[in-house]
Amino acid sequence: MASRASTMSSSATPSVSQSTKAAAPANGNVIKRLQSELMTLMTSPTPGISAFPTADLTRWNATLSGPADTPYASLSFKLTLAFPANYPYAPPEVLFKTPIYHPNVDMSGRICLDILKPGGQGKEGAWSAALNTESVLLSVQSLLGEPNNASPLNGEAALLWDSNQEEFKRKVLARHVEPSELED
Amino acid sequence: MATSAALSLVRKRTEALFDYVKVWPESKGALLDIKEHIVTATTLEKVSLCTAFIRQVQQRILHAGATTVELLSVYVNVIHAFKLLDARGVLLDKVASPLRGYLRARDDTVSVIAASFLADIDPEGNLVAESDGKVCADIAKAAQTSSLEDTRDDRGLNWDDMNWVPDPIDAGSNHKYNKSEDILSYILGLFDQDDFIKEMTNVLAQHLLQATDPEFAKETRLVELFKSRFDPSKLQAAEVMLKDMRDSVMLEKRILPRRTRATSTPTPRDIQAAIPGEGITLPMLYRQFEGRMKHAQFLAMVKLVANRRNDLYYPKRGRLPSPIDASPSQQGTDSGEPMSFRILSSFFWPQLRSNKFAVPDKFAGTLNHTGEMFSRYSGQRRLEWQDALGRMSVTLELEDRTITEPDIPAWRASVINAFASDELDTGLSFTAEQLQKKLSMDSELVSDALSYWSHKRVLYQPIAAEYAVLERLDMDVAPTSNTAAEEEAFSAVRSEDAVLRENAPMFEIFIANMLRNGGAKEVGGMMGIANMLKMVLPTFTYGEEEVLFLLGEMEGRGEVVREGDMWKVAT
Repeated sequence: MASRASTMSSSATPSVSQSTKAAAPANGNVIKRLQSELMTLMTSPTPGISAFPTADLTRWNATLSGPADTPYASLSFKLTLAFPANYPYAPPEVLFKTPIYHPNVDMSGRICLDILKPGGQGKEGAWSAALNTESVLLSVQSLLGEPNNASPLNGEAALLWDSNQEEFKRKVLARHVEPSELED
Repeated sequence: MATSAALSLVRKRTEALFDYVKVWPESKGALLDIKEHIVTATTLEKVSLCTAFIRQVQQRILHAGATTVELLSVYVNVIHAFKLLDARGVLLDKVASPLRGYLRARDDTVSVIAASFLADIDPEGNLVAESDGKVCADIAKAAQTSSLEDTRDDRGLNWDDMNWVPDPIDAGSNHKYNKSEDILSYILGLFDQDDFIKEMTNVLAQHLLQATDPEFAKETRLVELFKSRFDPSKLQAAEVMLKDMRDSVMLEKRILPRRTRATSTPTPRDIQAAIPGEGITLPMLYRQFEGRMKHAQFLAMVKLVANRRNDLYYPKRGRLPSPIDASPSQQGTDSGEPMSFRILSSFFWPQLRSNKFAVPDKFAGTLNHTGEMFSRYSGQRRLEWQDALGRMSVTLELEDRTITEPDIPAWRASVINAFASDELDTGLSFTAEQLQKKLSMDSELVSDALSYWSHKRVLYQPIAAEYAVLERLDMDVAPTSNTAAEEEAFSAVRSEDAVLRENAPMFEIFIANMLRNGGAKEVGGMMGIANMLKMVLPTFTYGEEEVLFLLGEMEGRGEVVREGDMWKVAT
């Protein structure tokens, strides 16, 4: 956790010069880009993935369904996406709103995934402007079935995944709350 | 004695105020009587004048029986009359508000106003072409006489204004005194700018497609007029439409002359006309004249009319002396049919009728060729012909008569052409379904064309539901039914409803995803479904009513459920 926070802050410094130039006037472009992403998402939907903006076009809600043949099968998860002002040159911030027991997701829903960290030269992240909301959600969905146990945020989950799948599944179900119950 | 006589006169005048307003400006005298009284009247007396008038308006005109055109012309007269009574418009504001409210509630007000702006009127202010109660002559006159100057000046700050008078004491605190208030600004102020501009763009599109004036003077003036009154950036679409029209005329000149004059040897003038301002390479230019003149001859002429810079040829500035024989050489025997075209930037035009069907072979070739020429001139851009917007002139030679139909929609020409295209067999007949298949045309267009030609007594039905050409009038004894073919029932611009229905599946996907991710929502309100859709989907320009229609459809399919005012996805 601590190591992750430090990489975030160190990688943020070089990107400042970039973002201050782009951020302010790019707002219209961000909206345009998000609108066109939404249009693609709506016109060619991917099964198991759904996303829609809130009243603020740069903040979206998303719904994922857990991939079949994984402990998360037939569960559905709510996420939020917050797009920065210099999107797509910086990654969106993606959080799980539904409590989830997963090696790469911490208790407050933060996700450890390389494509969600700023990419480019000299940065360790893998974000690229060629990615979009749909590919982000697909990556998160596939992370559910293939956790990266080399750099876990939830150490216990990582150990259990490798040692005791049945206990892992029990913990997943114990922690899960269906989105419809979560709203109330 | 004198005062009581004056008071009773005013009472009489007030009772008939509505009649005076209606016959404005003949009733100016009577109104001046009232004005005389108003100058000295107390506030209470002014209020009673207004209430009397409002009551008359409500009784006489604010009901379903009055047409929108009538209402608008009364509105214009009210403005004239009350401006006379009270130049600062305080009384006008009071009496006009019920009328304005009523006009806003009518569906067709915007389209009547828009049509009126583009109507032709003669100098006496009468409409040139009466167009079935869609045009208000008073507005047309006002639009034509109003100035293009930016009239949004601040009258209160104009210190040279010798006609300045202080605000009347009965002016409300929200009375806007610094706004110039001519008829037009009252009319335009009736509606929300965006709604009005959208409707106006539709009418303008329709009008431009039928316009014959190559300068588009009237349309240009109108757009300029709006630019002086509205936010100019909102009129971008209208400006692009105008530019499309002008560009089309230019391009037509560039592409078509050599089609129509293909037989004659080109003159230097023709070559000059064919050189675009941005330059052209020599082989490119010669291709246009290939087969019509020898290369050496061509080169000599090019030298005469063009400058060469870096392999590109540019037209010389100077004009050539006009040819001695100025009479047009393209008559009758040309290889190509005389034709003209319009190129529209689809992004800026309203959604147009886009039905596809088979155009007569003769034209299909010409269209393809023109499309190729267009791509050659304008790089990446590609043409897509809107068959349904085409108009053709048709001459039919029947056994006993010749019928010429100038300027009819292309689908009607296509249908009648289907009867002629096969061998000359008089017994040839089609049913509507056969025609639909043959021309791959929509049924509504086929039936429109069939009823049009039946009405013109070109087609008849030898047996029920079969259509054949009526070669001699005596072949069909029973006069074809009197059902008048509905002239131009299909407007070029598609109705909002049609667009809504066409896009409904997409809108419904948006709604479903919105509710799945955003939880249950109401239709109205800031965060309601209607507003959210408008925000994320600029093409969604509808209101709550349409959203309810979409939700109703989705509910029918079991995709959403209703809980009180809230809608949510069915689980």
